Amino acid sequence: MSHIVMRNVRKTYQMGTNTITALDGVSIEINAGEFVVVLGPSGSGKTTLLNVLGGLESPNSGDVIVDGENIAGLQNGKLTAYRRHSVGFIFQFFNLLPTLTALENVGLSAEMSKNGSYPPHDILERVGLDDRLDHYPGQLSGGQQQRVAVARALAKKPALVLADEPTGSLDVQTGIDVLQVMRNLNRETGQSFVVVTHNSAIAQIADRVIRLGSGKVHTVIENPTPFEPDEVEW
Amino acid sequence: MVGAAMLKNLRRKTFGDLKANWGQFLAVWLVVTLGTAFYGAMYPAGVNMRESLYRTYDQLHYMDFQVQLGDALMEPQIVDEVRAVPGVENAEGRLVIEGGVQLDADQDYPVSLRLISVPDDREPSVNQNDITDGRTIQGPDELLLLKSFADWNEIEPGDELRVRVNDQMLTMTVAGLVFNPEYLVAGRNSTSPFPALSSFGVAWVRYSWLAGQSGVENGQINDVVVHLPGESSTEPKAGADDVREHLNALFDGTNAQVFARKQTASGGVIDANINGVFPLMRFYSGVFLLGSTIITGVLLARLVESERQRIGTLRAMGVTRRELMLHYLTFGAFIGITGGLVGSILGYLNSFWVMNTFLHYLAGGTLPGFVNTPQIPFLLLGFVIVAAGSTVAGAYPAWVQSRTPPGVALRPATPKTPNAISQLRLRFLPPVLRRAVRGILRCRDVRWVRRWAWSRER
Repeated sequence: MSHIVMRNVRKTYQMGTNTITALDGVSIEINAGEFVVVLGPSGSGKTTLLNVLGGLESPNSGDVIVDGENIAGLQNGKLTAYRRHSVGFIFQFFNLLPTLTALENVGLSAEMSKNGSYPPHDILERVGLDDRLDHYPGQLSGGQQQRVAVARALAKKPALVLADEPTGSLDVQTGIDVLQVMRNLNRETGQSFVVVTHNSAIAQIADRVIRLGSGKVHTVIENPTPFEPDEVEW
Repeated sequence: MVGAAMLKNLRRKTFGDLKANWGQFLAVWLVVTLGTAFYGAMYPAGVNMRESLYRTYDQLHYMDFQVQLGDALMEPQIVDEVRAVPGVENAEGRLVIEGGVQLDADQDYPVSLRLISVPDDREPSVNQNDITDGRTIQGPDELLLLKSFADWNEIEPGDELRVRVNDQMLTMTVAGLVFNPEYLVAGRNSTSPFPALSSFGVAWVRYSWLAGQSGVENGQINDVVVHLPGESSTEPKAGADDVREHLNALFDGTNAQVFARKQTASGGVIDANINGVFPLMRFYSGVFLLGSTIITGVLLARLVESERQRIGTLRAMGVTRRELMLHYLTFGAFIGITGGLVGSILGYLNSFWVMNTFLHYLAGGTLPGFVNTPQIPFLLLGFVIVAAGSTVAGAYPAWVQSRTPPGVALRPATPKTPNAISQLRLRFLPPVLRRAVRGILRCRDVRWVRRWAWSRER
């Protein structure tokens, strides 16, 4: 399981003549198997933090050390390999491939792993979709699609699962169900989860809460007694 | 790079995408198929048309030279002298008499009918007839009629015709209808080469009958046709210039005129048409192929561009650029290979139609030497261009998209910065048209329209 350290990470974007600083000297630590929630308003740098952690973007400076390897300076091919074998993504709008069934969406992720994978059928059963294996995304509800996305992210047994607003496009109850699935799987598999959200209620289920603002870490709070999703007042 | 082979589920996505977007892919496939079909029809039709004509010429021993003696008559021995000219394979002496035929009892004047003699006891060795209907001449009062003339005037074998020769009206029976290489295009002469089948026809009759009716004696002739060895495809045939010089020398001091094949009515018209249309066919072949390849490229590029977010998702999942390109080039390759294959077959079949249409217009029907050999190297070249072009058209935009960092590709594309054109108010247009016109002016290179719009704006 991964132990992740971000040290003084800085990431800027050039928008025409303006330079936008998305991450401004961010330093955080995530322990193996932790369920971490990153909170912050729009434009605070949450998604950029997730992208940098997941190897989708490289920082301008600073270190991102995953299991002793600094991924900040990796070349494109090695970053792809990092994403392929070590990271699973869950997106706000699910991003399932519409012409593949639930089983095939999960299967695509599973077949890429070199570390072995969960059988797609089993992992879909664990997220409660064993009766929807051959359904296409268009035939599933939003909550079901997000559960397929969770299964897809986990199928390849990544050390790190990154979720960007996973409940952002779901109703409250469906959001609770999806978070419950994620939390259960986090406990069962010991995989680290980093969930980015602007919904502060979700912070109550985390082992650790990181608050961002204007690209900087405002607070890091450890939570020794996290709630279950269905115990939270939404 | 990791993962050289295509992932199983990515392959499934290919088929799923093809199935889900079959309308768009069908449109692209049709562009490829039709482009290849037209490419495969035009140029090969030109090649085969030329080949069909040459084969017809060679099968029927079409003359390489014609010596017209005008009103003068010459002794038949002159033909032996022509045959003895070095480089001449065969020669035939003939009587060519301008007569007429009364096609309608109420007709005041007969239609022109050129009567050409054939030997009584054998087929002519030059300008042979190809009998398409009926039979050969078996009696003195029978004739063979040019098929295009017969068809135009609805004459069939067995019909009786009132033929005028030397101011006499005689009844003749049509023994058969023929193609003749000398009159594939039934023109009167090189100054009036185009067919007028309602007023000019050609018939072949026995020499003895024609000589008797025309008052010609002792086997005299007024026309000599000469055939050289070799194939028409290598025209001008070897030694043709020398033969012509010999013929000029042989007929020196007479009113005889020596014409090469291309100087005769039919030979000239056909040569001009084939050689005129051939570059066009080659040009249009290229245009169709190039056009379809470009359109395919643009359409496939648009299709792949619309996959931007999915490409971002796949890249985020760890799909390599190579796997991604392999995935997207499969669309192009599938479309290019199947479209190119079907298009090539359709093109070959279509070339029959192109040839038949053109030859029917030119020669009034299918030629005896008709041939449509598949132009394999040419079709193969088209297939390779289309298949490779489509494959690249699928792979290149995927390669471009895969260069975008996945984090960026996952977001919707940033709208282009508005330029001055998109800020035109266009108040002189109805509101519903303003956005459409702004879009056109922004995207297309229509400078004069822009100038016009700006002038109206002021």
